[in-house]
Amino acid sequence: MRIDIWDLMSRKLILYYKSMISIPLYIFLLIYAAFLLVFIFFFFANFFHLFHMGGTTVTSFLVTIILVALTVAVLLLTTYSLRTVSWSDTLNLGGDAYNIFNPIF
Amino acid sequence: MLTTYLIPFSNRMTIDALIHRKDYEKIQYFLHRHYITFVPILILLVLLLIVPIATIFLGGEYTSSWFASSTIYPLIVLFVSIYYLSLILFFYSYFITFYLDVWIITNDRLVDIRQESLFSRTIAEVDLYQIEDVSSEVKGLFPSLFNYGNVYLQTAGPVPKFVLYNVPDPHGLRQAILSLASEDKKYHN
Repeated sequence: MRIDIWDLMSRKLILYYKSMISIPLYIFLLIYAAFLLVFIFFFFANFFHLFHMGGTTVTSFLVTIILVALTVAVLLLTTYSLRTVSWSDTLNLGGDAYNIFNPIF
Repeated sequence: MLTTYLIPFSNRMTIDALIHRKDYEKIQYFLHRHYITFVPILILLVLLLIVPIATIFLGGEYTSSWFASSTIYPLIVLFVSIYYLSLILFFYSYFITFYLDVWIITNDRLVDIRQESLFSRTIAEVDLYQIEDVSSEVKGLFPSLFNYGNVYLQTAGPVPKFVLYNVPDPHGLRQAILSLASEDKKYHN
């Protein structure tokens, strides 16, 4: 029996692209948490610079207060917007919609 | 009248320690770049703040379908949140860099503290008696309107050239530096 290697390879490729990749939503929440850690680090690094370099004036105090208020507002809005999300749900990638070989085969 | 900025008492000790102020030294000028030079970044910030809101409104049905999806919606919210927090952080870092970029002129020397980025700072100083030549320039529409510009100092010290960028009232400052330098030369002849 003759085996067509190209036919076999293309079949394997189709199977690969048809397989679903499922990413749980909480993974994105973890990425967000990691970003928040970086954000907090740099925010405090900036704040420390103000103290260290004698930059604590009314202007810098006001700017810091406004930006802290904005940060709190963004975090509250984010929490509010995501309050009903089920984080155990999965985001499905792949499948027929992502099968780039569909039109050819 | 030369524009200077008041230094709160709590900061004086930090600044004294930073420049190792001598007993006989008095701080004459504490200069930041002119506040008007911060306005372009403010405008950019406002524009960038509008971008996600504008995208949602202009996207119409295309973007509303994203919000209908139970899996895409949280991703959009997280992405927009990261976007806004990044903007806040960028703006704060820029403000710190801008605000900590200072020139301190005492009756003995000029200290140039340049905050190039969050973790990069250069401090240079020159004794006033070593200043050979001072020139000032106000170039352009906005600098002329708001009276700010550059002051160039030619010195005989190890740092041959000092530039005070976008300082308020550069012509007044030039005269003040020349007068302070000639006063200081009396003690070094």
